[in-house]
Amino acid sequence: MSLSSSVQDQTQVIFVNAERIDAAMAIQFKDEMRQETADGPGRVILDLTKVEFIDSSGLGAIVASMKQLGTDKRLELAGLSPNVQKVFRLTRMDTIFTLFPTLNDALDRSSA
Amino acid sequence: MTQPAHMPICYPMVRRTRITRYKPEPCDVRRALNVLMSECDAMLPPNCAEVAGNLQIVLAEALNNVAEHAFAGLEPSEASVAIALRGDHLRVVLRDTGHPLPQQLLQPPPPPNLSGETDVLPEGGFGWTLIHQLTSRLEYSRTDRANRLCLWFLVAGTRKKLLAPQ
Repeated sequence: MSLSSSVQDQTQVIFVNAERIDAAMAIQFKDEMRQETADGPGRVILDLTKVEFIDSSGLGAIVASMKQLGTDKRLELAGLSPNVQKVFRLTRMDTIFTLFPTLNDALDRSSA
Repeated sequence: MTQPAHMPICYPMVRRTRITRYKPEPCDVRRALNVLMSECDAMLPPNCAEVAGNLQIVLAEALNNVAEHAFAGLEPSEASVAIALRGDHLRVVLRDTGHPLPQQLLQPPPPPNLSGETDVLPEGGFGWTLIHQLTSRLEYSRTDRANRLCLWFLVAGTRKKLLAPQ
């Protein structure tokens, strides 16, 4: 409902089609992430371009999504707005996730 | 009668206080946040996008805390947020009638421990870290079984800043 995805080469891109990842949708987000990543390639990029705001519940849901991917897959984040990036920086979660300014930056990196 | 040229122009100490009431549960927290952010847009001087961004993060955490913790096990009853621009600060007062705030939360918490493996990374406990980092001052009191949390944000560029400190 709020997520859609596409797979190219060895990368799955998951698009967040919502302006907020907050307490009201954190559980739904986690469930949809589990469904989207049930199978597919090992590299998953979460495209946050449309997301204008995230709270700590939303951040927790993204962390939980990374944990439920297990050790065979990795989750990277792209398209963070300044305020979304600030939440990652202040909680130091920017040291845990690989962050890309835009989705294109993330996709370019895959060929490197 | 016109003011002499050498007299400083005085702006009122409190321009306006806006009070938003909400029911402390996730869907109404989201609605209240939208209302509060429109009010702040109207209240803040131009070029205050960063303050507005900080305010949105802190208000979301504070209101979520009221919904999830202050009213844990209680029937949600109306709570309120009052916002006023005072001098070069934006003052936010949150009131609710839920459980008292644990005193240890009034001090900045230690940063979340991110040193372990992925499977033990924390998924919560970030809210108070954000509130303490993004406010310039924080006060809490409990009177008559009601909570009052007061938060201040420094607003650069307000005209009051030109006047003598209070």
